[in-house]
Amino acid sequence: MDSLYGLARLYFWNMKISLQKMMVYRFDFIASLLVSILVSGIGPYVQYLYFTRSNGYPGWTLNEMFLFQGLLLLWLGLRDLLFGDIRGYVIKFIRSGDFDKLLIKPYSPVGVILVSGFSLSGIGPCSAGMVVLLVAWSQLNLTLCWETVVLLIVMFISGLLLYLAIIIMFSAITIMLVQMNGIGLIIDRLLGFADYPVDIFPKAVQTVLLTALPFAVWTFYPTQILLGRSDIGMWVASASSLIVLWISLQCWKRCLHHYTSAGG
Amino acid sequence: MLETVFASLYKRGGIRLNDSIITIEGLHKSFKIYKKDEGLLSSLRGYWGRKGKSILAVDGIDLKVQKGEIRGLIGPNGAGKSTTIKIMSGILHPDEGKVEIMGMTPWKDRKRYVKNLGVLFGQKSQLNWDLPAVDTFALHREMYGIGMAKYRERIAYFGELLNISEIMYKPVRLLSLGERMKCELVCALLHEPALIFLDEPTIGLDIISKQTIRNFIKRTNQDMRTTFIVTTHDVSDLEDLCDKVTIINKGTVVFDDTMQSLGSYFRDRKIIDVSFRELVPLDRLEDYKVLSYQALTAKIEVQLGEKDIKQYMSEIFDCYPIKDINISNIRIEDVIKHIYSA
Repeated sequence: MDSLYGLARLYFWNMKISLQKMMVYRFDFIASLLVSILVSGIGPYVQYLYFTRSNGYPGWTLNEMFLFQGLLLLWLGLRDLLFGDIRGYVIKFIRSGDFDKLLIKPYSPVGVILVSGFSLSGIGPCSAGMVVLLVAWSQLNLTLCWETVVLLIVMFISGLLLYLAIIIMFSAITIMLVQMNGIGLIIDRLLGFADYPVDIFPKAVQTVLLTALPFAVWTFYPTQILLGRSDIGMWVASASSLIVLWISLQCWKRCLHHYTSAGG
Repeated sequence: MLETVFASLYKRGGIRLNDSIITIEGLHKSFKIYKKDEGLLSSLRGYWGRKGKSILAVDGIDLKVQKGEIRGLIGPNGAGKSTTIKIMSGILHPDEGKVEIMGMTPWKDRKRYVKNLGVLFGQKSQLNWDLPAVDTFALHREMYGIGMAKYRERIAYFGELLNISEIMYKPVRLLSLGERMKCELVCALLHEPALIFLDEPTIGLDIISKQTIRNFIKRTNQDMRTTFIVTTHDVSDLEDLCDKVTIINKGTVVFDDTMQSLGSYFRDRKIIDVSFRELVPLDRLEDYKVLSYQALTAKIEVQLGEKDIKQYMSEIFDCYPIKDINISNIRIEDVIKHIYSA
């Protein structure tokens, strides 16, 4: 618990330093923020075009789809805000041997990696997500009760743990293979499954998205919870996230033992 | 004040004064490397099968270092020094061997161990390139849980000793190499570690910066009894700083003794620098091993044994028109070269 508190403090420090670094180059900082906010609005618009010019997603109305899109953008934004830079950071550090520097700090190295990813690029999707979510919310006349809030918090924590598990697994494999751009692309394609409601996929894919790769915790189940359509699969996906995290930590320990550093 | 803190730090770590701070026995570490021939075809072939072989980087190293020592750890490139340092830092796991440093096994007790360890990698910066060094110092304060009053005191101490009181507030990218290295040293020492590994701390620095850093290391060693392990290719670092030196070659320790012993490694060989009053042709010096020769000067090496130095001197004075003469031991650099190539 003490070390979790320490890591939380370190995250805060890294966040401050990251902001300071970005603000050194003021024009770049402001331009990146603006571009990020503008580009983020494209996703829901494309979905709107798709929905109005096709049969849409079976079982989903346009406003429900907007709710899903709002939550998706909000999740992607938060994810990038909290852990956006980590993959590039890990590859750079391990290739150059700078990972050594993390191993001489009095923290768990995986902890130091996880608290080093703050990136302001997530602010765009976050803002756009909030707007889309509020519009969909008012169109659907949604209400919020304490039970819904608790379930949403459980899903958010499960989602964070699942994403951390993916980063840990990625970092562990990077230690063994060093260059990971190819595998990074595969991971991005897989993560793309989370951009659509799970129930539009065939049964086999649905099962995978609830168990082995329980991406359903990120957007699908939070949407279902708000729409009052949650089911037992929500708990399966949540438990699977914990299991995936445990597996990734075991994998990390084994791979760290084989770290070879770079030449001296 | 600092000494009091240091003493309490030692107490917390359960370390008694005059103990061995480092004990290494039978250390082995091998790496698997893959060979790739030249060209694209060889890269393609690598997808079906690569030729790999195991390289023994550290082959049975034994080492003991006393607390408060400044120990030089040297060796040719690829000798295994960096691997040894990385194992001692808890970065790498060895294949075999016992390593006990400050009563801990680095890779097993890593988190607790590194709280008492400072490391400076001469070619890997800990500083944030775009920010002033003081921001990195503040981050280190947080990482090592240094109290604010203590932190301010340490920063003032380093600022004065290294003459970086103003420099630490400038963005790192605007600093010279020497200024950056001084700030790196602060990062390594801010938390008052009992043991510090310095990997080429003076690489690429001018004479004055080198001297400032050496003075700082000596001062810290004297004031706080901090143990330093210094890896370097600069012989003057060794001569100026180190009590003892360990030479590693091909993964094993080939010399482990005092600097004085290294200096008198060839006790039976002397260098005689001679200045002549008038031209002495080279063929008149054929009875000696001439290391260098110019019209009015020569450097010769003599082997003591059948003749002692007194006999050599009278022989030289009798045979040549001597203006000046100087006798010295074989240079440490040459001794090291000899040990490397042995």
